[in-house]
Amino acid sequence: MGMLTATFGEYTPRALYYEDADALEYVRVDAPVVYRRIDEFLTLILDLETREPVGFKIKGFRNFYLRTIKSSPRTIESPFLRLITVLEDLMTELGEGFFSEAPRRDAYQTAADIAAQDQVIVSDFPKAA
Amino acid sequence: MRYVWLDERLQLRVPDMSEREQPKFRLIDGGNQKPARWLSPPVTTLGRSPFDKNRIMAYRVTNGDVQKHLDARKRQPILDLWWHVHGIVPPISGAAKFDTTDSRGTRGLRGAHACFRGLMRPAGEDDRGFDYVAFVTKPAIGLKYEPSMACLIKQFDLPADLVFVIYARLDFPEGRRHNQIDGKPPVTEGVIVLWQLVECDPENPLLPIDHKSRFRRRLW
Repeated sequence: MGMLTATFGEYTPRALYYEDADALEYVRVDAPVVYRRIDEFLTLILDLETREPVGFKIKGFRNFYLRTIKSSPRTIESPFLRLITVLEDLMTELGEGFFSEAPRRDAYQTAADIAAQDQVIVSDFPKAA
Repeated sequence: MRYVWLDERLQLRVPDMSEREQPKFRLIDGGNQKPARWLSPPVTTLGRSPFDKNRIMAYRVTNGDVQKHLDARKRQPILDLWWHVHGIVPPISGAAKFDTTDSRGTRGLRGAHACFRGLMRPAGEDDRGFDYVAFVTKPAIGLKYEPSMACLIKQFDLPADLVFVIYARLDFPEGRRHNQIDGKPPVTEGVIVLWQLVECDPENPLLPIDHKSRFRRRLW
């Protein structure tokens, strides 16, 4: 046990971009979790037992990042990118009509709350084509 | 500080011992230790072909995303990969006892009972996620990192309202023809890119919830 701890260390929550899955994921815990699909862009990550949200995943992130975020003046000027900013940009692109369904709106709000509370910074980005 | 006279033009400035910068010792985590074997999961696994349920094919496992889990010190996705995708107990001291013939549920890609095609979302270069397939298993048991005197990991019962979904990106989405030279069938089918627990359909607990809107079509 000691050897593993010494060689592997502990998980520190941070936003990670998974290239093959093409998803930007942030999860607070390294434990068994359940993935609840909200729509084609957002998946909430829930605690296995309580089903309380402990993170979220933005799917198809590569296209959205290259098309919308990377060239945004806000991104170019800022030395770092906040995850809440990514979510805001995504919600802006989806438009108000997209949030007419309360469960979907609430899910995005939950993701935004997690990003804001944890002050998540994104430093892991898709490679340019 | 003291000065050593060398000649009429040159003196050597010699710091006292107390002024010298003391060498600093630094602890290097994991130095001189081989990484634990379970942190290097197999890079290929066996599973059913999406085009023929009875045919067993090899799948590669995403290398970059597994490394990203390891770099982030995430143990759970690696444990899930061993147990739910490869269908084997990770090589951890004291964990062999979990490799029992527990008949509850299925484990591993080979035990998949359903296969869907198309993610209904963009994925990398694939705007429609059409080249992806999802295999569904119904495991009853999971593994989690919970160190004790006996073992690093612990077995636990999975809630009955969950299924495990394994996503693969196909090498040849339309199905690869037999080798033109030797006539043998292809060996590999694609890359496993994602694996996760999802809630099941309340009407059919063997399938993922909203499977009709989540995937394009069911292959088997």
